Amino acid sequence: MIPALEVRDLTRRFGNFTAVERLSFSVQRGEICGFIGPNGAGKTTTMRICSTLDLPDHGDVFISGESVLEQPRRVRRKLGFMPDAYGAYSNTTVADYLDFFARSYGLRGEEKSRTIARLVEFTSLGHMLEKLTTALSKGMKQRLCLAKTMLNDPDLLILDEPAAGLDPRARIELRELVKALAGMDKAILISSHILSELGETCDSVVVIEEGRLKAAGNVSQMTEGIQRERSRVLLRALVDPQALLRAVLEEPHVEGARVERGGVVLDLPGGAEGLARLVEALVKRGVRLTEFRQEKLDLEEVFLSMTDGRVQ
Amino acid sequence: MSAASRFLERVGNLPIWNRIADRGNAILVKELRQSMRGRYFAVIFWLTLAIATMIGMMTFVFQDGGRADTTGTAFFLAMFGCLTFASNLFVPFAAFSSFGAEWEENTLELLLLSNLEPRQIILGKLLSAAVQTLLYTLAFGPFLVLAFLLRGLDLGVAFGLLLFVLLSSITLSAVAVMLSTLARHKVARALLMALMAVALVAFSFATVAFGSEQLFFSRSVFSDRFVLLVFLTIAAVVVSYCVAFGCTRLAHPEENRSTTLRVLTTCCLLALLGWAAFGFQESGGDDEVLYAFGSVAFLLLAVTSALFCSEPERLGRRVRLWVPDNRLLALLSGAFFPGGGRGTLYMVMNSALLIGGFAVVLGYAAPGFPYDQVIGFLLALTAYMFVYVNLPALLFSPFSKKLTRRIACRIAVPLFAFLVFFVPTVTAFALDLRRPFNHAGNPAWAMNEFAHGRADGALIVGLAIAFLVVLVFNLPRIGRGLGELVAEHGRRQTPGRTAAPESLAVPALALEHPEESGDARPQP
Repeated sequence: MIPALEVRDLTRRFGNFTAVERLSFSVQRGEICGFIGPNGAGKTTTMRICSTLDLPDHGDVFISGESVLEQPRRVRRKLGFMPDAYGAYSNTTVADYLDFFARSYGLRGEEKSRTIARLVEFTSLGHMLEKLTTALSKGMKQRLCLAKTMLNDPDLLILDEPAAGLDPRARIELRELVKALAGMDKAILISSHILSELGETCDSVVVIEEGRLKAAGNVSQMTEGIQRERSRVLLRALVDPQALLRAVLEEPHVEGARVERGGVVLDLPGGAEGLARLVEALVKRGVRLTEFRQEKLDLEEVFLSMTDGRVQ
Repeated sequence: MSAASRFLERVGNLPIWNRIADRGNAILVKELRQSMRGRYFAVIFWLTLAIATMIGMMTFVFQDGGRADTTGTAFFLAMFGCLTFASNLFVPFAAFSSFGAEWEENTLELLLLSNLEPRQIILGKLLSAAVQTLLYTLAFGPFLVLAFLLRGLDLGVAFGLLLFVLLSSITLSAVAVMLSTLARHKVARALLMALMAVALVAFSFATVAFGSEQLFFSRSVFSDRFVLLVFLTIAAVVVSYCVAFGCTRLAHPEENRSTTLRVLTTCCLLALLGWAAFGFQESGGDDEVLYAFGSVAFLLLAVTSALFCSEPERLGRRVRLWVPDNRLLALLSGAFFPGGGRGTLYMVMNSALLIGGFAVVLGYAAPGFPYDQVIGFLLALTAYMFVYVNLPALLFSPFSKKLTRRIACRIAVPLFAFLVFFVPTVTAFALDLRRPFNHAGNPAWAMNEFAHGRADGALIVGLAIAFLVVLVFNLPRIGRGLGELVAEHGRRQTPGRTAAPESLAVPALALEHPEESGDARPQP
């Protein structure tokens, strides 16, 4: 099956500075892919190339099999890009805004009206149609921008920091919209710094740093892979947490131990073997454990373990 | 919102209008809706009409001694002044701000992504300005009719002036939109806006003065049947260049930003050639017409070639797709592809086209005409323009990748021409020589010598040597430019140049050692 998005050996240089280097990954239809990396990692550059706004020095990007390099106009018909900076027109209502972009995408007459009505319903903008776009709240602007992005019924949606600046409620609503879009068999590439959000929304993630691919794959597979190498454990005992912490710190290989939630949370390398060794050592020291729980790593942990935080 | 705006909005929402709008330019529809809803247009529109009414009444009241023969003309001039300021000042200014707002409000990329072509965007802005001008003209209609009823008004001149204002408004709006595409940054935009405001005010005053002169004093230029055609040609050329240049500004640097301008320049040169032939015939064989049109044509070629010859040599990745599959066709079209070397080739080819064209014009229009003088003049002009453009371009070509160096090269062209004139002149003054301005570095003197058949052998040989030296040194650039096209053609003939996306075997999840493979495919 042709992937909705295929980034192939992508390189982009700005003078002597390499923003993206030999980057390759793909996203299938119906998949939500998180695109994460520290600031300056090359996420926006990659997204701009994917959306035909920039051109690579080497490599290519294919949207449903069409090359952004060779067929930019055909690619734009299959693509919806929501940039981080939302563009609103002065003296333009929500209805006029959608009407204008629908015309720009070549929609006419009944087809245009039907498409706008469907998207207005999907994004719950019905009561806002006569409001000026400049008077909308950030959350409503994001909804409007999402509606605009979907006017051409794209195969792939590229969302650059869509949750930035949104309040918790708007974030949850956006998350639900994104999930609903994936349910419509659309591929979604979404970048965000709110990794907890991405972890709940995404099927897969692509991690880049300094323009290079660090990891890519299924979120749960990645967390499991990291957990095989390193575990996070919550310990509770019949002693004071500070005393427990002192006992734990006497053990070698223990990292980042701290008092938290009435117990001690620590990171331990070595997977199951390491865990067994720790329990054995604590029991030998006479620590009477009441709880020993291995905690699930989230996307934030995955990200931190894979990147060094280097900024170009 | 004013009552008129509400009325216009209601009219705009009629189903029939929606059906018409569906077929029109999307930007035009958006711009008109924005204008109708916004304050700028409404305020300026009603204010202009109010001021026009006041000025009209004052003109009517204070007309000296009620001289009926000039009342209509004076009233028309007052209205013409108001219309000129509205159309030539406010409309282009609004066009400039409208495009500037696209940069400011981050909407330009949304437009480009929505599959609108740069050409549609620029034309949409321009059409919106044209519609506004038309609205102003229509609003002034009753005043103009009143001016006619007051008697004393020459209708031919009045229509000529109205057409002139309409044309100049559209042309100035095109220039304003083009300038706006140049200024992405706020400071640059503010600076350009200030400069433009000064220029537009000056132009508006000049237009009113021109109107006054046409109405009251001299024999009107509009009595000549070709004058409006000349205005129309000039407006068409300026608007075409502004649209083409604006489009190139909206395209990515790796895209083809040059071919449209090159084709347009060749078309303009052919149009000039046509005008020269027509003018030559109409004037009964006056060779001054040929000198004038020849000079304008070569000047246009030199100015545009200064842009083309300083372009980076390498073909952009998307431009390579334009290279024809046929090898011969690829070579023949070489001069129209972007790149400095190909720019030099373009200049040579178009110079040859002009000289050949003028020879044909002379041959057909005046078979017995001694055309060696005219052709000599054009050859000398070619040599001057070629050296002025291509020597700096040659020196700057290794650095043409950077925009700042390209700009430096473009500035170097007139600077070089000035130095070639200035240094020998100053030296001649210093040495107290006779006629310090009469030297080969002064093209005005040299061209005058050629036009009058007085050019001496030294001047001819010197120019020929300068031309040949610059051409020979530029030949490797031209060769490299054409070589790149041939290489691209050869690359296309190589089988398996681009694997189909389906055939790509992307390695599965590269979680363990992503750096080694540099490749991964997420698995949902």
